[in-house]
Amino acid sequence: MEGVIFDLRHVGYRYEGGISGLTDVTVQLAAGEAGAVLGPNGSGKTTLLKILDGLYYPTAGEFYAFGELISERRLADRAFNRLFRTNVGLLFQDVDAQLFSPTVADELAFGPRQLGLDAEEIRTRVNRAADMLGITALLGRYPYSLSGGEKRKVAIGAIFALDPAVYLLDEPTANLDPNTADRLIDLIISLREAGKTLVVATQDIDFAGYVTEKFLVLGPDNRLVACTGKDAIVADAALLTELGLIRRSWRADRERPVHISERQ
Amino acid sequence: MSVNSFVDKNLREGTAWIERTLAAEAVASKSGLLQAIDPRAKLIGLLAMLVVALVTHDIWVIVVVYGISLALAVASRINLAAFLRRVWLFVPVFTAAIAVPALFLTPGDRVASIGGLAITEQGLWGAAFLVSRVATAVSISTLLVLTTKWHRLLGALRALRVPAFVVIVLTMCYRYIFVLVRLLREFLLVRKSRVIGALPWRDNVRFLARTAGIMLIRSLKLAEDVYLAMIARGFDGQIKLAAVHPLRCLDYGWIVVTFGLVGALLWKG
Repeated sequence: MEGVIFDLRHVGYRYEGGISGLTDVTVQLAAGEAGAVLGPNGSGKTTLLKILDGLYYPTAGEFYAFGELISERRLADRAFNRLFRTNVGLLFQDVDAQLFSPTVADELAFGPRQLGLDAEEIRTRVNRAADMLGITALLGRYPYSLSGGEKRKVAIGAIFALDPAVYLLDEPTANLDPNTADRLIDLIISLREAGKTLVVATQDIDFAGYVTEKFLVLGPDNRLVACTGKDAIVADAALLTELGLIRRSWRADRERPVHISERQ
Repeated sequence: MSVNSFVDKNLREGTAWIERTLAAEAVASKSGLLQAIDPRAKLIGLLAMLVVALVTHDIWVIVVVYGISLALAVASRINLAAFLRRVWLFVPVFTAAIAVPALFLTPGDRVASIGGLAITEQGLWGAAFLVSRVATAVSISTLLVLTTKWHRLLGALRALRVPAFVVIVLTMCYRYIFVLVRLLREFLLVRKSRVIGALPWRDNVRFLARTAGIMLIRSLKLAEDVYLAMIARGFDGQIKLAAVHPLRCLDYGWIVVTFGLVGALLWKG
């Protein structure tokens, strides 16, 4: 595959105490590609994203990013760390963990500031990200005073402010109202058009269908069950039913996800 | 105290604490005199006033500083009744244990007696000194806290050469106290909604112990996730904070005025 950004070779991860997080996952992702990680609860979606973000290191197999073998030692190299962090942004599932700064403006500025950008550039990025997510009115607010949905918008904005080449989004539509979820879909589509790479972990198969073309399906045993184009997965009702990824209403009413622009 | 009333008390206290904090932040957002002054200048000026109140041996100097603190409260659009209530609720807590015995134990001229115990003039002055000193100190501290947003107050500590990592740790403690208080409140609410009648004492103790354990585990997990979230956005062990802005004319003016006042009071007292 040309322009491979992420290359996982038989990657496994075990948490302390021997609990399995991921088992024997082999997959590649190219620059500009968009993949959705689907799977039931506890299948390893979040673990996979944390490995892709160089926060967890595989306990089995190898993980290459930008052509380099990722290890704690490699990321301890400041120059490579900066390159990696500039290019990869992760939205955490637990937004409270991600929003550690005293105000929303500080939160959006944290990443750009750590990367050593100048004050003017930081201000521009903060304002642009706030504008994109419609959270300009929240800039002076404290994270503890925000609702769940507002917190998620701020957390997404913090990744937008980083402006990475690769977006890793863990359950981005959780707690979002339908309007904001649609707005997020539009934003992600514009990111895709700008050539960004995207990996989304989600339970929302409709959302996954709108913004990605490749589905990576993890099973309850933390193994990769399927990795192919979304149409093939969506057509496999037996697989989706077995993994509990679709609801009864979806099975009865939907044959494929409908793009936002097709909805009238 | 039964566990049910313990749960209710904690629910009330947790909610009240969050509401009090949000109310204090609302005062800090008003457009008043102290709110307009940079937190670094404000901290320096109010600290100088605090030092005068603590070192002077002239009670009238303390009274003047206290009067200034009330004037500053009014100029900062703080509700004076609420301010006085907040300050004077604290004062007995800090002073009663020392001031009351001092009334009777300080040798000197007897002015009155209660139950056969003599109150001396020197004892009265000593108690008045202590109470006024503490009231003034609490007033000044309350002014600082009420008129400054917490993150800016913590940021101002950097002006006093407090290391950046200490400021960050304090900021995060303040940020995550809300998360943990809300989590505890949820635990207690869930328990309240699912318990009918009184449980045996042993079950209640077990619940409290488990809650404490779960809170500890959750806070450790949260700490780990926060660290990972920081690393994910470029933190490499050396925290980079926002550039420090220069002080303005108003801030320098405040420092000059407070230091002038403090100097005059010290010279007089």
